[in-house]
Amino acid sequence: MTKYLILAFFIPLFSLGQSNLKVTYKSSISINLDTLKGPSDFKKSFEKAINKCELLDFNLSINSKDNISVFNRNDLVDSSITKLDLNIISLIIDSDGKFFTSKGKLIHDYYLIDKNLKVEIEDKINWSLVNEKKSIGNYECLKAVGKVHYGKHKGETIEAWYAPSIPLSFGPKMYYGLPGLILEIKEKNNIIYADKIEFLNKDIRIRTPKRDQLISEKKADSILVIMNKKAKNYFKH
Amino acid sequence: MAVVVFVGSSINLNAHQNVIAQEDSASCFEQAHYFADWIGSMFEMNALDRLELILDYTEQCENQN
Repeated sequence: MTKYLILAFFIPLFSLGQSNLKVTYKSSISINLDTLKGPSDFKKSFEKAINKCELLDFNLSINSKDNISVFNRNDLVDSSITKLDLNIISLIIDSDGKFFTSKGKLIHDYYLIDKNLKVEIEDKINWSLVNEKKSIGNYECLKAVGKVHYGKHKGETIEAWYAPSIPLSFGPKMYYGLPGLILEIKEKNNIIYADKIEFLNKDIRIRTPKRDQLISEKKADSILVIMNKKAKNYFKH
Repeated sequence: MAVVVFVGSSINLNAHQNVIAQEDSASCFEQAHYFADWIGSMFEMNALDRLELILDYTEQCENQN
């Protein structure tokens, strides 16, 4: 109930004069630990990791004049989060790297070990608008559902809540294309929710990857196949 | 450290529990493999994810011992 407290204090009206936004998102993992089977030590490590999830902040910067956004996890400020914790969280949330939307196109810029990939994603989510409303902070939000079109959770159903009063079709991770800013996304095992919205008068400069740096999803998949083969062989030498 | 190669990711949970019950004899590296199998039984994971998980678990376990 308290998660939207900060959001409630922010100005609920959007005006075209305020063309730039910074949205801080947080996430929570919703897995029933009581139903997990397995060794207690493993369960403890897993529980510790997923509880750290709420310490992570994600940032969505939007330059609406140029129709560009970038979403990424902010640098860690809490040193109690270990690499293992992050790894476990990452398996569930799948939000590594930066997600750019530029003029209606989506680009995922991330590292596979030490190899940087900038992938242009062709597919778009085919959203279905649902006649359901709820308030998030001071914003009245509408519901939409769709299927994940990219990444580890491809094909899974997601639920989005967007604010038509902020008519910017951006959102967290690879989610965009609704007639309002997405303030909450419910994925299979987690929720990503807006915690703070800042309307900025100053310009936000977003540098999207250059055209000649981009590769297709197909190319990225072929690189992943090679890297996975190397990973499988890692312990055999 | 003994290097044990586990092929596949379908080791059953009883095997995990047996290893943990004999924690003294399971190295961090061995535990890491079982941990990765356990996580892999719940979430989709490719070989790279698994490798990173094993290396990070091993490192954390060794730092704690």
